[in-house]
Amino acid sequence: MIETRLGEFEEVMLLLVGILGDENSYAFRIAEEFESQTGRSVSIGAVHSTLDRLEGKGFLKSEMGKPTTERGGRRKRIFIITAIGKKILRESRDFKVALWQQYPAFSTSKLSFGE
Amino acid sequence: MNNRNHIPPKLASHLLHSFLRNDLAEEVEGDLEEKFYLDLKSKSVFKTKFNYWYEVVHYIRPFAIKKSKSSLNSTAMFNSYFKIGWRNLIKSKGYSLINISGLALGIACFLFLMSYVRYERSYEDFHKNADNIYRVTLDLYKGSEFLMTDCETYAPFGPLAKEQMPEVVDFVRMMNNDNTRVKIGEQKFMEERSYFADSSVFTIFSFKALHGSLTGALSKPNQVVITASTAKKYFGRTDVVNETMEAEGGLYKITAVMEDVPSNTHLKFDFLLSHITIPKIQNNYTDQSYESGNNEYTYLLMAPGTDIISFNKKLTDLSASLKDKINEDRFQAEPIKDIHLYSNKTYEPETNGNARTVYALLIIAIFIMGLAWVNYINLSTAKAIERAREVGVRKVMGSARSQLVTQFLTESILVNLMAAVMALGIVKIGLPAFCELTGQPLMDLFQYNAFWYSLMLILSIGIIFSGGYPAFVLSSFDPVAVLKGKFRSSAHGQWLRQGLVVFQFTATTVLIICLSVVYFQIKHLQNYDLGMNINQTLILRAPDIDKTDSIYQSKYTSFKTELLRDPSIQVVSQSQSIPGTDPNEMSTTTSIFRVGEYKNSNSYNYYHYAVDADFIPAFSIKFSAGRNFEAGMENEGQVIINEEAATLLGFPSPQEAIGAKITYQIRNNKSSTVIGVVKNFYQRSPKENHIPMILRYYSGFSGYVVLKVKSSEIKEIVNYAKSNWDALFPSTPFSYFFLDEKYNQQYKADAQFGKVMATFSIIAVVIACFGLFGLSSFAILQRTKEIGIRKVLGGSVTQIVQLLSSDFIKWVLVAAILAMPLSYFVMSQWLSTYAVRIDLSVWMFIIPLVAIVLISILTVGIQTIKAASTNPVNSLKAE
Repeated sequence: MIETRLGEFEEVMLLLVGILGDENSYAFRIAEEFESQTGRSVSIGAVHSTLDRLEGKGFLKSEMGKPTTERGGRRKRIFIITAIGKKILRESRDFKVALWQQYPAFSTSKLSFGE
Repeated sequence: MNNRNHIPPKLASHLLHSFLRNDLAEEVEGDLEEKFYLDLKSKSVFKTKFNYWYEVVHYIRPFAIKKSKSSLNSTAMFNSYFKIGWRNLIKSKGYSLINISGLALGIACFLFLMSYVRYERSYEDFHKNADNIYRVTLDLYKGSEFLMTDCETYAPFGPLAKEQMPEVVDFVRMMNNDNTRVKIGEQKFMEERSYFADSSVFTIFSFKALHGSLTGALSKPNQVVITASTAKKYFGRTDVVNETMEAEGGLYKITAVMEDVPSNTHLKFDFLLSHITIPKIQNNYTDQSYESGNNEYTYLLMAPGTDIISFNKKLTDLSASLKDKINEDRFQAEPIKDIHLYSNKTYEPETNGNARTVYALLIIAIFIMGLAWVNYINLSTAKAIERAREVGVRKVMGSARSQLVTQFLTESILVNLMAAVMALGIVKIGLPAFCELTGQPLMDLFQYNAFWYSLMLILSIGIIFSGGYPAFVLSSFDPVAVLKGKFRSSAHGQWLRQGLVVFQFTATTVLIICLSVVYFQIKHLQNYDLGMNINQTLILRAPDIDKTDSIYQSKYTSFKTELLRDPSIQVVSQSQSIPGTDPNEMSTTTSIFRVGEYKNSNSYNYYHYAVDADFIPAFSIKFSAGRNFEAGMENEGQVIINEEAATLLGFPSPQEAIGAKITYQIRNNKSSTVIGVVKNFYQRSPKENHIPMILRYYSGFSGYVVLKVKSSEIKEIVNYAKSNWDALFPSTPFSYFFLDEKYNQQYKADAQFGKVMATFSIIAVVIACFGLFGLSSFAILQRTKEIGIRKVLGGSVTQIVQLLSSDFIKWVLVAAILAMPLSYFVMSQWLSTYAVRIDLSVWMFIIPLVAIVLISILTVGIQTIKAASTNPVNSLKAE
């Protein structure tokens, strides 16, 4: 059975794949994007491994892009979010929002912090 | 820009290719390269390359790594290897049995011997401070000539060392107190193992309290700490704190009960008395005095990391500064962990082990293991021809060599594991016998990690080496040659096999020759002319009395008269010590003077003890000059010395010593007159050289009563002596032993070594014969047809047997010849440690050699005769 829960890193990866769109969502660019968005460094291998896992869970699909003149003519593996992937992202967001709303200090104040 | 000229590090790319899944190669390489060139723009070349390496290494993840080719069906393959291996074992049950049982025997022997070695090396390990505790011994010198080392040193040394040397943290002195009479109420005991100890004994050593507290338990006079089993013996229970017991020096209060002293320590005792009690017993004893002699075992607790060599230099200097008190003698320290195996000095608290014995057994263990492995290698390569076709077919079907190696290794694992299980069974069953053989306490070997480690070690080495070689040989066959049928004889490794057989038999022959030399040497020692007669000698412990007063004297006289009425009791004598007992029972002195010569002529250790007038006749010790003592108090002050002492004292001949006056007791400055010189006799065993001895006449000393008897009805004599004893000395338990038995205990260690060696040599021979049996029966199987043809053509059984046997016997003979100089070398080394030793004679070599050759002829012969006498029709019809 395939594990269908989503880890924090996995969720971020899925979102980044969505953000980068059809052209640029390959391992190296995702790693770059992750670093620039979070300020945390990550190895390409770690990103790739997560993407591979997400693909195994069915949240992502991938195909090889067209060869370009860059990078010695080597193709890129482009990742695309699947319908299930989108659904799980949405569910994840809704679940968290639901949790936030049950937190009395935040539920009335449109999630603004403090006074 | 020149940055463009840089390319990703090649080595890193190679690494990436070596593990990366092929289908990922393109995208990953692309990504990494993109990053590399991007980095180049903003970062240094070094940093960029480093990053590349970093990324490559971080791709070593399960998802990205190549799966090995056979990954899909590896379990299935292993099942198949296993099944084939098992079928092969079953197919040739005989060989499998030889292989497995030989290996099992080898492993079991190895485990046994390793456990013995481990035990012998574990001495003192239980002390937490073991690495920092040193014993101070005293090197005795005559001028600058080193004489010997005494384990005991002077009482003031400990406090002095602690005060003057910063690296000495603490000291403890232990004064031996053997042959102590203990009284608990009306019960009396004779105790051999006790010490007067400073209270620091419990902070330096790690003994465990059972009842009461050990801290300060010996800080006041007349305090005693006893061990649990002593407590049980005296009181029948262990919680006996605050009870009292009577020993030398009056009543002692038991301040604590401690757990029994472990068996792996050189310092064993039943109870410890407080050291501070000694001045109450010995009037002239003080902590500051060197006059009371060196009678204290002194242990120092040193600061961690102290360098023993420089510390010993400081001790040498310290000794020099005390020259007016201790002459040329020198204090030296030795680590307590070395005592059991390496020390072996005068007055050891117990007979030491022997490092050489331990290493000898270690070598035997490795030999035996080697023999078993050789069997495995020989039998599996010899069987190669049978497997050759299988290998050929497998190769043709596409088997890679590595897979064949794995297959044969699986078989070797199978065999080794089965042998290991069998070995564990042997260890379980044979352990009590082995412990009795080596004299070590019975213990559960399975609880020691070291035991399992050595098993693992021996298994892995066995699998890799004994399994590895055949695996590579078998897997190397050329399938074309094999399948065409050109591959006929397993000439492969013929030389190696013969070489290994030679190794096996050289090793076993050396063992057997050594065994025979050890046997003859021990026999020689036991039958050696001791210069006295200790047969038919019954020894009684002298009566329990505090003073030798006139009442005692008259009682003893009537005991003696009563005994002498029995015609089978020839002599009754009493003495302070007897031959063959612990040298502790004798006194020693190094300050001995011939009256009239004012210089201390030498400082050899002279041994002296008190005897009565019947002592010398009782032991049939012969005189070389002078006469025996005559009974009577007025004769005290007369001494008889042995020839060794006469020589060392500088008398040119025994006659000239007669009438000479000597002084040898520091505390008692009276001189003694030499009235006789006796021929040297072995007070201690002939393993050692003669020692200079002084027998001094004393009319009323107790220690031992010696009965020289002449009868085979020993039991009646003992009963007669006991009834007289009980009548005269009702308060003393009657205890006796036979002197020859006691004396022979001195060879116990040698005899034990001999027995251990005998056992394991026999096992070695058995294993080697297993191998020879397997090899020869296999060779015969291969030559069945040849034998048949020979017989048809008129070959006689004798000729065929000769032909078949000579192949093997030839190599056994080579081995035997090789073994001779080897064992000659080993044994002359071993013998050189004995004062009295046999000359190595040809027979000691010839007999074992003939035995080995006969055994191997027998092993090979039975099968060859069987093969040679089968009807040739059968062998030729086969196939």
